[in-house]
Amino acid sequence: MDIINGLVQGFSVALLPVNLMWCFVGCFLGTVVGILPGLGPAATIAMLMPLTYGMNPASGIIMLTGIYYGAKYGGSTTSILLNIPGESSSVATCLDGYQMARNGRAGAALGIAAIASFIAGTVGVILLTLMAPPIAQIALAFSSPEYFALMLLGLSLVVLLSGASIVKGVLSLLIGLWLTSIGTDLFTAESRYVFGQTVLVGGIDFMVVAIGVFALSEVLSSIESRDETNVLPVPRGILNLLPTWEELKACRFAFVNGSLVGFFVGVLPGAGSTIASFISYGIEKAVSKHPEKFGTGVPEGVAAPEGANNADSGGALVPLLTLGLPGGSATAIMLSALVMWGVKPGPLMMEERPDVFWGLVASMYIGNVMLLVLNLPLVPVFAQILRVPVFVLFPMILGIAMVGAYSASGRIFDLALLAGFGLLGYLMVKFRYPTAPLILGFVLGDAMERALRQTLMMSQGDITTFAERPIAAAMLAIAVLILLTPLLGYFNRWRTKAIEG
Amino acid sequence: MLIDRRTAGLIIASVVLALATPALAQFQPTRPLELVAHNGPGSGNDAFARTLAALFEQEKLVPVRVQVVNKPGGGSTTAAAYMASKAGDPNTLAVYTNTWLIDHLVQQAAQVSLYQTLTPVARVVIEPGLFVVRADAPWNNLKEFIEAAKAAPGKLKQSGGSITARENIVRQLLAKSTGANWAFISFPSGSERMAALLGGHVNLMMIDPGEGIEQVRAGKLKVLAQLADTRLAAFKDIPTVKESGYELPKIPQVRGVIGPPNMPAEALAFYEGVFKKLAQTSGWKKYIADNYFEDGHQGAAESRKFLAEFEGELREQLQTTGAKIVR
Amino acid sequence: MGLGRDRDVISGAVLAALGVFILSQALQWNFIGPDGPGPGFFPVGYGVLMIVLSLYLVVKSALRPDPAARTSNDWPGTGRALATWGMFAGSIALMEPLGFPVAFALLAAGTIWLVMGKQLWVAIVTAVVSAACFWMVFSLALGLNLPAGYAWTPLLRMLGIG
Repeated sequence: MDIINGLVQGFSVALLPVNLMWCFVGCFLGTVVGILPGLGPAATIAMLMPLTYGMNPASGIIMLTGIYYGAKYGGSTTSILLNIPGESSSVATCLDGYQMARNGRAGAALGIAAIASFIAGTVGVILLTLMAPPIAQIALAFSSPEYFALMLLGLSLVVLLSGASIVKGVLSLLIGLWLTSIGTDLFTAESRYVFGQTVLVGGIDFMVVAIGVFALSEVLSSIESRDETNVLPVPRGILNLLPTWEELKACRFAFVNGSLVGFFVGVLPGAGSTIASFISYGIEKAVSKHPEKFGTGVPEGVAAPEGANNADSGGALVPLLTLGLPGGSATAIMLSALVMWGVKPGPLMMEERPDVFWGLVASMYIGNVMLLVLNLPLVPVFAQILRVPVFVLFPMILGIAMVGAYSASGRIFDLALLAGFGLLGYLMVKFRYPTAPLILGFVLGDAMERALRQTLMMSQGDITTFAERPIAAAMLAIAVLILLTPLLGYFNRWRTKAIEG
Repeated sequence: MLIDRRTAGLIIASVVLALATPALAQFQPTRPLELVAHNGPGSGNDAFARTLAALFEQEKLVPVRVQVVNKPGGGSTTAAAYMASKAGDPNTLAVYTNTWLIDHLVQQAAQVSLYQTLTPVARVVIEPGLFVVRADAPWNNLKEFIEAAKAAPGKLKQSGGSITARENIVRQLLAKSTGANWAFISFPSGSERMAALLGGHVNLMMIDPGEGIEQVRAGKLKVLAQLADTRLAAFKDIPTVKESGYELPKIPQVRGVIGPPNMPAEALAFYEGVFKKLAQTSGWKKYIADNYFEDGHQGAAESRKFLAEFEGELREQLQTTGAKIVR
Repeated sequence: MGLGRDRDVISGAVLAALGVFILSQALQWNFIGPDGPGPGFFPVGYGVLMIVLSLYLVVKSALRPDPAARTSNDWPGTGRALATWGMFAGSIALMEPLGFPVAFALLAAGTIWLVMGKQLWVAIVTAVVSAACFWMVFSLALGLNLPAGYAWTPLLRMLGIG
């Protein structure tokens, strides 16, 4: 059994005291940069890479990877407590996480996030262990038509995300699609909707939109309704800070859903954890017995995206290690670190450097346990943040929002955009438009447009290409079904009326 | 506590002297050196800037800390605008690539000219290119691919980045001179381009050698031709495009270093010297070899002249790609 | 005046205008080129959809107002929120010259004093302390390049720091 031999060898590397130490250092740093907005995992890994020049490759990559998946654990903290996503992949966690905190279940939400992260993170590593090479081949079968179908499936979830008025939900989505078109068109180098501004040529950063529409508008709405005392109640007693058995039981399916969706979407070089977390959230809502409660603070609405976000780490390592293809900026830096050490990620890495490959995989089992042990005790500590009186908390949120938006690009202009999106989010709430579809449209719109145009360029304008590809066809069929459900609702109401009448 | 007049005079004199000395003597940076990359962490350009920073410190070429600063956005536009705003600053440099020239030509908003507004410091490397196909593809050299493309116009596909990138210019030039026609599909990241090729969704790709060497070694890809003046040491058996029977104008993919407008002459001379020394270090030579680059070292005056000429050539070549030229 | 049912009419009209703008721009770009769909392909699609849906919203709410939407607006509350937003925007405008710590302290002091109605000294103390904490955590500990403010450069140079 190659895998068992490999794992044994891997653990013999990962359990060396020096590697255990670097694993812990990586996980710890990851948690810290995940919690604090402003410094993402990619920037942290890039900054620390020079320190690893002298290390042996296994220790070095164990630490850098620890930062990568550790940051995803920490990212949910500010999403839940302050409605400020710490990383773009934890934006979906805001939807129900922050509402749980408003209902006095902040501790429970943080606990569920940590547990979901642990379960899904570990499942992701198990899948990476068992099926890295075959799953990489499946990922290669995925091309533009499949990506388009996946993004459309994601967008069809807008129907589920939009709440009372579907028309308003779709309008919100369309605003998101428009905002994501701003900038230079990849295919023709044409500038779209840049209003002659150099600063807009590169498009708008996702974090600026998400922080503005979620965090800033939330502060404005709370100030409007003047919550004199703490907006977010924090119950006393340590037991009330932990998830209850019922809450955990409600998340059973979400753990599975998050793990699988996160892993498989993570394997695709053209998707990423932000998309994975939204799709997992959408699926969770679609199969739920009480979809109408999503967005009001249900535990499975936290568990699914948080799980997907962490299972994605294992998935993203599949193309990196077996094909040498990084799916995002953090994994790209890990690739250049490996190359620098003379380890060559690609089809031959498992044979040529089993110590590094299996050592890294084994260290991720250990790292996930470390992160759980590190994060669970922090839950009650972080929940105390909400005891801070509102007149201190609100300016702090405004400041963190500024730092988070500014640090992505270091431009004052992005802060002006942040203010704009804050106002937009506030007005949308005031005019009863759901904001989640806007975010979803922004995340998926660009990738979807690209995939559609690539597909039609490849097939020379022939749309039957979708029908000829089974994966794409299946996903498109599901998307259409989801899009038709509200019509079915109208039909049912009309039928009931007709029968009664 | 009073200080007598003589002591005060001495202090003033020494302060004046201390302030005046650096201007008289050779320039030495005193504040951390900012090295600007035009895209985010994880990009090839960021990795290049960080390698430079590490080598500067390792080889003790500059007496200060070197800090890589990412100014992503609009290709090179944000970084170029940032550099233009730093006029006269002796502590900021940026890493440029072909993109900086091209953006200026095709983007109305990219107003900063690389060699007119900014101060070229040095050209550093030239990157060769490899034409690769899947190992099981029926073509064994560039000629066979082009003949196949001629036989089935528009059916064969090449994956690449922006249409203004070198791989598309080369495709257009080859297509024009041979009458063949194959499609160019843009993907935003190198990984997606390579995945499309490995998965068999496209047929051809032009890559940096460092990008695909592992796939070639593992027998997943084969190399049809190399875009370089002479065969690279690592690819001795692969013919160049010229040897394959196709004349192409020179289209180097360059990386170099640029300073802000009106960079003080002493500072420019200092940094020019740094890159001259860098080119001789063993760390640099190893980096060049590991990444299959060609050493393209040129000083300040030479690289300014090169950029001016190259811009003119690019303007012509871009016209063939269908991109809108605005300058 | 309450916002009442006008909500949907107003927002629908605004979005319809946005849709017209989106479409007018998109029509200037290639819809379908020789290689495939052009840059105008997608924007034309969502632009048209936006106009149709927003007009539907206007017509529907004008004809059949939704009684649930007939809640009146809390104008003093809106004023507070917009005042906060104004201070936020003002602080961003001041960030380049004054730097992050000072601009943020002004914002914090302003909101605590004017919007939350605390005493001025409480506002100032909280603002100064939190600005200092932010600067220490993000600028000194994490090494982020937050703007320091060019207005202070001459002063710092005089002190021999800059």
